[in-house]
This record gives sequence, C-alpha cells and structure tokens, in this order.
Amino acid sequence: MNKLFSLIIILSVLIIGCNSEEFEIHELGGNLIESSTVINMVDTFTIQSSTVIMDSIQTSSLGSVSVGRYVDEYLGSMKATAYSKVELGTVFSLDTTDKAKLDSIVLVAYSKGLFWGDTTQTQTINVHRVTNHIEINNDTSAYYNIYSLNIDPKVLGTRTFKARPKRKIEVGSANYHDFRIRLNDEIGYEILGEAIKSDGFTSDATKWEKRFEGIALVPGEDDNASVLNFQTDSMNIRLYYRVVGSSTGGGVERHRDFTISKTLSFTNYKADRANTNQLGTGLSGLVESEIDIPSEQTNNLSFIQGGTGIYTKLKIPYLELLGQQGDAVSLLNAELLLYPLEGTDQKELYPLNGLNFEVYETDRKNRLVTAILNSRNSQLTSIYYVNYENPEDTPLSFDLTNYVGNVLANGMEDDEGLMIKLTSQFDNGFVNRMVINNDPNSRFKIKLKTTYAVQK
Amino acid sequence: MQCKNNKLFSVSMKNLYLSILLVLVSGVHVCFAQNNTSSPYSYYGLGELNQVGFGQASGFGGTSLSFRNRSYLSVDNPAALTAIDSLKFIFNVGVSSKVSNLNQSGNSDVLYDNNLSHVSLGFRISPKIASAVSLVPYTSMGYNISSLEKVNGSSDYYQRILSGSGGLNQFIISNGIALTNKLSLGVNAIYLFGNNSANETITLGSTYNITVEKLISKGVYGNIGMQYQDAFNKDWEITIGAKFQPKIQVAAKKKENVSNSSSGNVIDNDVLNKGSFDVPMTYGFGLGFTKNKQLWLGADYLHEKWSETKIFEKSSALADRNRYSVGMNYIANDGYATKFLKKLTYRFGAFYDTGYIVNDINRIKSKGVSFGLGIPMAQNKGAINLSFEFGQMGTADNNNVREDYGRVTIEMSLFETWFLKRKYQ
Repeated sequence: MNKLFSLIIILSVLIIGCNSEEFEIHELGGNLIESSTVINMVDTFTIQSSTVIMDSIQTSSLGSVSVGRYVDEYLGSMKATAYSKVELGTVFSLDTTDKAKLDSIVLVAYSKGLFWGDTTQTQTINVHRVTNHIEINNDTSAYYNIYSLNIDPKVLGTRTFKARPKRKIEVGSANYHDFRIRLNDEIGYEILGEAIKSDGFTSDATKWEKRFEGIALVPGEDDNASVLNFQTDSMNIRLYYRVVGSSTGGGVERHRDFTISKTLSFTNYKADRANTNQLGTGLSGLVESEIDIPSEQTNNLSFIQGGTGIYTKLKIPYLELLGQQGDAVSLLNAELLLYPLEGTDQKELYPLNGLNFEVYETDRKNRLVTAILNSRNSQLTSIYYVNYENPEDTPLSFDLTNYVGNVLANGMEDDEGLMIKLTSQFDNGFVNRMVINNDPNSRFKIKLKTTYAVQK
Repeated sequence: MQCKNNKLFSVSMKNLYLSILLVLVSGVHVCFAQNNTSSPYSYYGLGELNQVGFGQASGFGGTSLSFRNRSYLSVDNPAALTAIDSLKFIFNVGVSSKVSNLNQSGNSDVLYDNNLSHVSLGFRISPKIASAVSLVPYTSMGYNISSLEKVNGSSDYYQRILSGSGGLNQFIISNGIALTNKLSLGVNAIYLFGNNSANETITLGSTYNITVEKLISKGVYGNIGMQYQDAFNKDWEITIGAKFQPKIQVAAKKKENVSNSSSGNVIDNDVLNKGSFDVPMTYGFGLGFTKNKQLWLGADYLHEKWSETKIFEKSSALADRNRYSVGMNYIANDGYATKFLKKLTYRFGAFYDTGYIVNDINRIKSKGVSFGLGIPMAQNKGAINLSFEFGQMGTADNNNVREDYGRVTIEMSLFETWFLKRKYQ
C-alpha cells in the first residue's frame, strides 16, 4: 500500500509539478506590466545624393543587343548600336547542277519584349558590314558599352518602321514575332556564287571571316523613337534560294541560316548629356567615374541609367547619431525609400515596373566596395513595382536593416556612401533609367525610415 | 530512478522516503524553477506570492499561526512542530491546480496552472525538539501577453510580447522546541533560490529585439515563531501563535540583456553580480481555540512591511501587506468512529489579503473562501488532504484585471513509524 502511494506521489509530482508551460499568448493585462522599451521611428536623416558614372560596363555575351535612338529630357540623346559577328557554321557548298537561284537574303531577329522611348514614332535600322576583326582573346576579354567598331559605310539593308516590341506570334504565346530586314540581293548572289566553288569563302571559317566579319545595326542618326532589344541566340542572316529538282523538274525552295555569335555580340551605348532639355549643362561634367554630380546641380534630382552605368550615390552623414537617440538603441527596421520624379515613369514610354535594383557600399572614388546584404545574408535587391493607381507615391525601397545595424555596431567611414544601381541584367543589358527626386522641400525626397527600440 | 533498486525499496521505507526527498530536491528543482502562474500581477515585486498555508491549512484559509496538529508540518509557524507525533516520520507532498478566469474591460480569458505546492518531511529528534525540511514556492512569475502597438512617429505597428517566467523557492529547515509544556518556540532557516525572468520581445517585420531582466536569488534569511497553549476553561484550550521576521537582505544577482536579431548583436549586457533584495519585516498573530482535541477555531493577522523593501537598492514600490483569515478544523472522529464520514476531518476558512501590489490607483487585493477534507488512510498510515479554494484577486476597475479563480490542492500525508523498536519481527 505504501509502495503504491509512494509511486503515485512520485508520478504526480513529476507529471503535475513539471506540467510543461505551454507557450500560449494572451492579450489581457498587458497594460499592467511596465514595458522596458519604447519604439520610435525617425525618417529625418539628411541624405545627400549625387549622380556618378562607371568608366565602362560589359555589354558582350549578354544574349541580347540593343538598337535605337531616343532623346531623354534629362539624360540627353541615347544611341544604341549593335555589333555582331556572323558565323559561317558548317561548310556551305552547292553543286553546279543544282542551278541555285537566289530568292532573297534577310536579317531575322526576335525581340526580347523590351523598349525604352516612344514606339509610336517612326525609326530606322541600317545594317552595315563590320570591317574590324571581332574576337575575344587575351587582350580583349569582353566588349564594353564604350567600344565601337569600324563599319563599311555602304548600307546592306535598311528598314524604317514603327516598333512593336511586344508583338507575339499569336496572342498568349511566349514567342515573339520575327522582325526582318531585307538585305541587298548582291550579297545573296555573292554567297551563292562562292558556294559552288570548291574553295569559295563559304568553304572555310577563316575565309568567311575575311569576307564577312560581322554586321552592325545602326539606328537612324536623327531618330527620336525607341531603343529596342533583340535576342542574339535566335538572330541570323537567312539566305532563301531555289534549286532545280532532279526528277520533278520543278524548283525546290531552300534556305540557309548564318547565325549570330552570342559571345561576340555587344552594344555600344552613346549618350550625349552636354545640354539636355531639363538639366541644360548640369550633367555635362559626368565624364569619369571619380566625379560626383550633386543633385543640387541637377534640379535636386539624381539618376540611374542602364547601358551607360549611371548610378545614384547616397551619403547619410549623420546616420551614426541614431545610436545616441537613447539608452541601448536597438534597430528594428531601416528602410530606404527613393521616389521616381512624378511624370518620369509613364509606362507607355519608360516602363520602370519590374526593374531590379541593388545597393553597394561605396567610397570616395565611387568604387563598388561590397554588396549590401539582406537579413538572410544574401545580396539585397529590390524590384520596383509601380502602383499605377498612385504612381507618385510608389517608392523604390530597400530593407537596409542589416546595413544600418552594422553601422550602429561598428561605425562607418567618413567617405562611406551607398550606390544604388540596376542589377547587372538591367544595368548592362538595356537603357532603363530612373529619375530620383531629392528635393529637400518635397515629401517625396529620399528617406531613410528607421524604427528602433530604446530602453526606458 | 532509485526506486528501481529493489533492495533499497524493500529494506526500509525510511530509506525510500529519503530517496524520494532526494529525487524531489534534486530533480524537482528543475520544475520548481518554473513556478506556474499566468497572472499578469506576477510581474510585480518578487512575483505572485504563494498562498499562505499549505496542506491542511489550505482548507481553512491559511489560518495557521495558532494551529497545531500531530501531522502538520508548519512553515508559517515552526513552533507548531512540537506538536507532531513523537514516533512518526511525516512526509507531506502537495500539488495544486488552479483555474482562473481573467476579466478586463469586458474581455475574459481562462488560464490553467498546475503546481507542486510543497514537499516536506518532519520528525521529532528529541522529546522536546522536532525538525522539518520543506521545499515550498515563495513566489511565482508567469505571463505571456501580446499586443499590437503603434510605432511612435509612424503608422506602422509592431508586436510586443511581455513574458515572465520563473519564481523563487524556499528550502526551509525548521526546528521547534518545547520550552515548557505550554510554550514552544520555532525557527526557520530559509535558503531562497530561483530566478524571476521578465522578458520583452519586440517584433517588427523579421527583426526581434529581446530584453531580458533576470533576478537570480541565492540568499538566506530566517524567521521565528512562538506558540503558547493553555486551558481556557473546562472544555476549551486556547492557543496563541506569533511569528516575526526581520527585514533581511537576500543575496541576489541581476542580469539585463538586450539583443537584436538583425545584427545578431547583443546591444547591452549588464550583469550585476552582487546585490540584494529585501524580504520584509513581518509579524503575525494567531489566536486559536480547541475543544476536546476535535474542534479548532482560529484567526490570524499577518503584516508584511513591503513598503520599506528595496530591490537592488531601488525602492520596490510595493505596499504593506495585511492578511486576515479565520478557519475551522473539525476532526469528526472521536476515536470510536466506524462510519466513513465520521472518520473524516472537515475544514472551512476565509481570508482577506491586501497583497503587496499597488498600481496607479488600485491596491490589488484578494479574498476567498476555502474548505477541505482530511481522509485518513487505513492503519493510520497517513491521510489525503483535499482543499478547495474560491477566490478573487484584483479589480476590473480602472482597466485592471480581475481574476476569479478556483484552486484544488491535494496533499498526500504519509506517516511511518520510525522510532518504535519491535521486540518481535
């Protein structure tokens, strides 16, 4: 009996006494307990902004090239010229008995669905032969936005059109409609003529290269329309011809594609910012990477532009003072907000929606020192989504909690700044641009919203 | 567990009890570190004060200063120990279960708390001296309260979770000495251990800020008690009980830590290794009347001077506590009982307690009634003491919380004859 009771006691003690404390959250009584922390938000940090430019950015091997010209109210004229090597591929040879007859020769290209500028305006693309050698070797590891190649002034083909960059082969399809420029028949005749020779230039890649290095897609000199983007994977020069059938006697239609090299295609982006509609000569000094053009000189605006490597640089000189807001300041959230200037984001002209941005820590020489990380310790990026119902109140935002937390813990350098740029996909590949408002009197100036806890 | 050792189990019940105590003191220590309560009032002072009187006394409102009984191991008045059975070894263990309904501004919430209420072991070491060791919770801290609040200067909201856990426990060595047949004195030496942890977690987005304030007690204090019993008239005996405790500084440590999940940094880390908090100067008086060893009627007044206490050299901001209680214990068995109901002990009591909490306007008082039953086990091996208490703490006025609660306490009281040498096995 005693044993039994003893066991009951021990069990009840162990079970009931150790009744696990379930983590249940309740709501009553919170007012009775004095909290030890106060939570404040401060967004009045002075933020100095400026516009800077990179010396060069790589534009080869991206899988696309850009062509077109438009004039930006703020950033001046933007002219994109595409250069591509045309490859022979396998040997192209025909028998004399084929009696091949040229039908046509065309450049076939497919849009990537991107545009920047006014697609309702007529624009021109001229195809030229490139006369420089196009090669990546030890000296030239890649081609950059500032590179250009010599071209034969003679136009191989031209097309004047109104761009439909988003046109698909049919509604709902993922595939874009082809875009064609007919080339002069002359080249077609020449290629067919070489193909029946045993040692013609279509029989060997080196010979082909000497005769036909590549092509340049050059926009009309005075166009003010749109910049377009074409896939290099599917771009080719297509030769249509007929051969005499052996038994039927009728002609048989054939074609041969000379493909565009993906790695040896690049875009030259040439901008003229010397005197722009909105800024006058404000950005004319933006010529090398160590120069900062403060927003005060550019109507309290700063800029980000792809293709040319224009970035916005921010300095928050009094950020460290956040640590003096109270006892044991503990950062809960820091959010950087950048508002595009009203009217610079019309979706019909400048589709900012979906662009992806990133932030780097930078220094006095405007180098990209280190990428800012997010709370999961991967690189911080931010996709800009426009709320078209209320577009002026849609900021580009970055969660800088990690960065500001670090500044609070470890301090910052005197010349430390933040560089806001497009991610490489959008920075190197196209001419997306954002005009950022930093008018000190505007409620849409650049803000750093910090929320922190302090001990009472 | 040691109970699996058959040899030990069979050799002597004495050893079994010792081993149980060992298990309790060492193992249950862990459980005791988490005294269970869900009252937001447990935030104040040193936590929610444990109910006065346990076991039998919880059946009559904790009116224990003048109560003497052969199986009652009093920690409230150690002088009562001189009444315990001279040949017995007494082992008491109690568990309690509390259901509370919290009311605030028309909202309510039901909470359940289970606890070990006490473990104690007592015996007489000489004809005039009896001793007991006990493990009893002193205070409990426990709450988990979440609220959504607005960030100052912003329209954003954050979540604030206030959570408290822990509690302070007493390991008490009590000695009672009968100076004369009528007058007994007692002394408690108390080791007060455990910790109270008040935490605050602020969550905004994916970032947490956690503030932990921990009071770690590792100190010693004590108190003394007195009981005087004499014949009042032909039928009645009178018992006068008193206790006194000076204000004593109990050694403690304090830790404050603020950490932040976004930077993984500890923002602030203060460890005060040396410090103290005060247990208050306390005095209490009890008056009891006993008739024919069967009926006992008693009343207690207890005063604890919390207003003069400090916690780490800061005023504790507590108020003096006054507790009034009355109780009745009726042993129905006149020695010849055969019916079950006549073998039971019946208890009733009531109390009114001002507590030690004062917030902006209100004192957080409590009051309650209790009743209990003592059910003897066969062959005088012990008893089971059941108590039921219904009470109310606090007020719903001024946006305070009122707790309506019911508490059941079950105590196993086991007697083992130790000191009888049998001539024949």
